[in-house]
Amino acid sequence: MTRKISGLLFIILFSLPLTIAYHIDQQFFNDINTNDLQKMSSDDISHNIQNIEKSVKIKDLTPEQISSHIDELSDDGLNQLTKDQLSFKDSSGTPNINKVSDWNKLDKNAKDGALSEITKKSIVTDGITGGKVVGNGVEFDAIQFWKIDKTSINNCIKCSYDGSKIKFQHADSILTNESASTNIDNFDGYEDVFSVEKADTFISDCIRVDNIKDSEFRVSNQVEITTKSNVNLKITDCTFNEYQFSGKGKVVVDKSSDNPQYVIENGTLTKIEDGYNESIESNNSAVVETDNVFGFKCLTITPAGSYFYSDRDLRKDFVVNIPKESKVYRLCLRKSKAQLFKDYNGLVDLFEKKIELNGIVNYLRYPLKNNQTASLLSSFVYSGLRDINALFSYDNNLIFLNSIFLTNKNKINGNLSIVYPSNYYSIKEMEIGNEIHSVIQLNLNLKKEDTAQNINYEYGTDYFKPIARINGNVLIQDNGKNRLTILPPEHEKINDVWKDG
Amino acid sequence: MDKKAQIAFIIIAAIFIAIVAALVIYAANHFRNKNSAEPLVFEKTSIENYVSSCIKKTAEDSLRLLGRQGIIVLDSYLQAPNSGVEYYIYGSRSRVPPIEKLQSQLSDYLSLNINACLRDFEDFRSQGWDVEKGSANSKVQINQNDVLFEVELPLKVASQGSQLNFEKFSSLLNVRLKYIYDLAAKIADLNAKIPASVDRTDLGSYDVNVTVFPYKDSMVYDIRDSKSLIMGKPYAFRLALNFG
Repeated sequence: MTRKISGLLFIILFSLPLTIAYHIDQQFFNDINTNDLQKMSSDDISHNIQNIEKSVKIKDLTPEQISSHIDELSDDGLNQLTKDQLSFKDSSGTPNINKVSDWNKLDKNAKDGALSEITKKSIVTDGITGGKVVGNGVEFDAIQFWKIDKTSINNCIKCSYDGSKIKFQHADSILTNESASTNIDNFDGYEDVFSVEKADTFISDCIRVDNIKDSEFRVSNQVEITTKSNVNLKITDCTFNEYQFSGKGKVVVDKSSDNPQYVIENGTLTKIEDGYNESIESNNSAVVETDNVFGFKCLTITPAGSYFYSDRDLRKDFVVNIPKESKVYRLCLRKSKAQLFKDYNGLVDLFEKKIELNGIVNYLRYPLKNNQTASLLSSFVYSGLRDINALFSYDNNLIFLNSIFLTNKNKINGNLSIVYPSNYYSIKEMEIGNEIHSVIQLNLNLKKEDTAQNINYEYGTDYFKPIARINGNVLIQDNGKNRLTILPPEHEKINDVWKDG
Repeated sequence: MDKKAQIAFIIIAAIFIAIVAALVIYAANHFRNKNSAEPLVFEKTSIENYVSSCIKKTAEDSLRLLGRQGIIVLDSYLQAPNSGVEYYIYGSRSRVPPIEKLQSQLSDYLSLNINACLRDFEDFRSQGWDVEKGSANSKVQINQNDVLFEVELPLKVASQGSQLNFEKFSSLLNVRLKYIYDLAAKIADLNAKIPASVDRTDLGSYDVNVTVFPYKDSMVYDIRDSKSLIMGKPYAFRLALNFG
């Protein structure tokens, strides 16, 4: 018994000074003022780091003092670190924040403040994994939410800001001042100028883009998209009309909710209408004026470029091609009686079933045979070589050509045009002896079975009066005093010619 | 046989008789016209007309042959049904015969074939006339609106002590061969530059009918001139073009 009492007494006597000393130290740090604290040596801090933490005085240490003790801090101590302490860079240039392995243990305001201080950008973060300051930038292995200036990013993986640009491997969404994008891969850019390798959707005001790949965006009062590989972008503009841009080029669309305008470079813009598609393909650039009801309205094509009309009925398909030799060409498309156009180089009048083409331009269609499409390779119908006017009149279904009439109002000399009534005929308006002659050229290699559709139409010009009438591939020109007849291969009348005379 | 059948038989018989009568009358007129040539009398004009009509017939034959073939003596030609048609273009080379060549061939044709028509003046001899003739020497002049055929043929015809002497005969055919030839040359010239082509502007300025068609990898122009009638039919001229 005596031994037990003496043992207990020994323990009490031995530990009492320590307990008293501890209480004295803690009290000391509770009472210490900032000046005295900031006079402590590094060893003193190291020996008393827990007391300083407990007295919540970590924040009172200078950034330089705490710099070499951050790894000694407990979670509680880390949470006491201030913006200035975290943003401080030691003699080796390492910012204190980089000495913290888990930034989620830092005070949110201190952490975001430090990052803002380092990057000189307003930064808000949440749910960081693997944060690291690099130079004036910052990297995250992952971050649940990151806002830098006006750009907010959600669920970002491998994200960084390098002092000028934001980059990330993936994010569920990114919201900039002017736009929002979802499910983005390999983002590179800042605010409203950026590129992505892939994104599901981009939205800016009333413009929406889907199926995004390898594209660079510039967003302002318009959206400019530069595609870095051959891609197909689905664009829904402010009239809720859908267009598709394809190619390795550029498309710009404004935010007009009335009649938006597109500008394309080196690509194809397609509008899918009910029963037909329209496309403008630009090998240079084209301005596409649209109508919120009728789609394409007028196309200002800087050569070379082509307008494609593709119908469910292939026989109606056609192409108007502006070759590189042409000037800037304005092609308008009339789809309603109410639509009237004045300033144009070419007018496709789908309402009146007429096509008017001025200047240097090509017009192509699929060849027909037995009233059906004979080939899926387009054939030339007309090539305008100089500044003349060609008017094509079609049947009510826009399939069969009724007439072609050429007008040379400027009385130009030279090679004016080539018309291709069928694969047997071509008619050239060309200069012979300082005047324009209408010269028909025949394809002598054709067999009867190879000839295309039995065409029935009239061909005329304003400078040579007799009209050439082509019926069943027989061309007849009769001016009353003479008659020119051109027969197709193996025509039955050839035998009559041999017999007679 | 009932009455209706009898009436039908009579009507059919009447129609048959009427047709036979019409044919007999037509045939009679036809042969009377054929034999209604001017009777041959021993007079200068009559003999001149006789020889000139032979020249005309032979000249017409020569012009028809020239028109059908594009030349009289075929050289490089397209084989067409019943005849050849001379190539005015072969490959990219123009082969338009000079007009002098056509004149020469026409005159050769006339010299060679005139006697077939004259039958060595058998018609004269059968009248009891004496005929003494020299060798025929022809000359042809192709003009814009006609073709002049001239034959130097020394001829003495004697009957009952009288003698008529002739040196030269001629016939002028209203065939616009030079006009057509110029057109053909123009066609060839155009096609040498632009193969397989038809200048509808140029052809519109010639008052002829032109038919163009492909035949055996070649191109044929058939020109018909209703202002140049031979035996009442528009003159026909053909040329072939081959572009190799």
